[in-house]
Amino acid sequence: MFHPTQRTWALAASWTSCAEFQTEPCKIYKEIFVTKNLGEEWNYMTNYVYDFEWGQSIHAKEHGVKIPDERVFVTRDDNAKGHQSDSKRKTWSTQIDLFVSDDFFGTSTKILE
Amino acid sequence: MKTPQYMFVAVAHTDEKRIQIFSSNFQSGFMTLKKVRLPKDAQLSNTFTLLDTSESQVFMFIENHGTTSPFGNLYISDEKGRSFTLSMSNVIKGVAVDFERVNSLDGTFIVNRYNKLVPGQRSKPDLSITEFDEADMISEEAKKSRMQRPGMENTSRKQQSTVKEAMRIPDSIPQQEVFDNVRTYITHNKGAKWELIRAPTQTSKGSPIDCHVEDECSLHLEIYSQGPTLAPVYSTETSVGIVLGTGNLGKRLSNVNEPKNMYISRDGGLNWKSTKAGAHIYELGDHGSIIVAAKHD
Repeated sequence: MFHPTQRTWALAASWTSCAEFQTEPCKIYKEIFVTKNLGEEWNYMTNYVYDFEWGQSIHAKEHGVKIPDERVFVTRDDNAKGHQSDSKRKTWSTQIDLFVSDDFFGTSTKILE
Repeated sequence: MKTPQYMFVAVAHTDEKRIQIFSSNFQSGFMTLKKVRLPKDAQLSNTFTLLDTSESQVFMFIENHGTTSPFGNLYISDEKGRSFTLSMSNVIKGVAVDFERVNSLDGTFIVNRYNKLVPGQRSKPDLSITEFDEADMISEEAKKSRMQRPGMENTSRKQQSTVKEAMRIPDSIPQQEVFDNVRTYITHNKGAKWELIRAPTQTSKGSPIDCHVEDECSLHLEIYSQGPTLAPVYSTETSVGIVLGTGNLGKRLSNVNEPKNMYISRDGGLNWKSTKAGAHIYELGDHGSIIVAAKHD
């Protein structure tokens, strides 16, 4: 998902694969990554992700509302262990919370449970 | 769900079936998420559909009769996207919600609505549904705080019945009967007032048409609910005022297999002309000076 105003920035999510787990039992879950140079380098942000969105908005920019370009909203299961539950996608789950981060999940805040 | 102006979040109710809807807007950098204010019968739904967020207002569709019912209510918000009121009840949802923004004129929208005609009774858009006042809000809040107290969950019988009422599925209305009683309505003021569409006065061949709104006869247009068989209402931002549609004249939108004609409006959906007999697919070019139509068999 490309950034609304930064042309070279994008978010992408991918599922883990068993090949990544050598010393521990393999766990399949969705991770989210960010690139700032059109995909040459990707940096890991967080895990057990469901949906994600950039916080920036062209409309806000046009109206002089300052939103950090780095802002990302993510829904994720903070307490999950093991495989990511697929059934939570099919129904509404109380275990998935909305997080926001302005530094690509160096720090993040839960804003809605 | 995020648009350039608004962010909407569904928060799962403890039963993991129903949701509460929260919204925020760009003014706060989308950070101040608050519960949206909805009329009582729409407060606990299991899904919601954002239909339009243009012109600083949100049109939201809620299946307040449950997801198995082929219709639901259309609500419109304030500028903040926080307080919603009923704009139109019983809007049809088939493959998609039968709601279309007329891109060629601000404030204009077309919907298809389940509206059964009772013989001898003049039908009006039924907008007198559940007034929602501050007292209701307070009692609702009180109920919720009661609910959150441990050991007190679901003790209020009244509340249980309210929930049941809200989730009631009208089994009494078979799907076929709903789709047999669909009428098309248009608004020219963003959902404040909805009207039936006045029929053209002449056929495409020039013979007079005797079809008046006063006699329950109007123009009905196809949107999405019948699937991709017929072209939906169509307009583009660059062809100001022009709207194209496929439909029929009469008391209701006829079955998808019955004869349909192509209609055009040049004044944002107020007056319509019968252009071509038969269903067509169409496209607009060069600010509306070129209109291409191809017969749809």
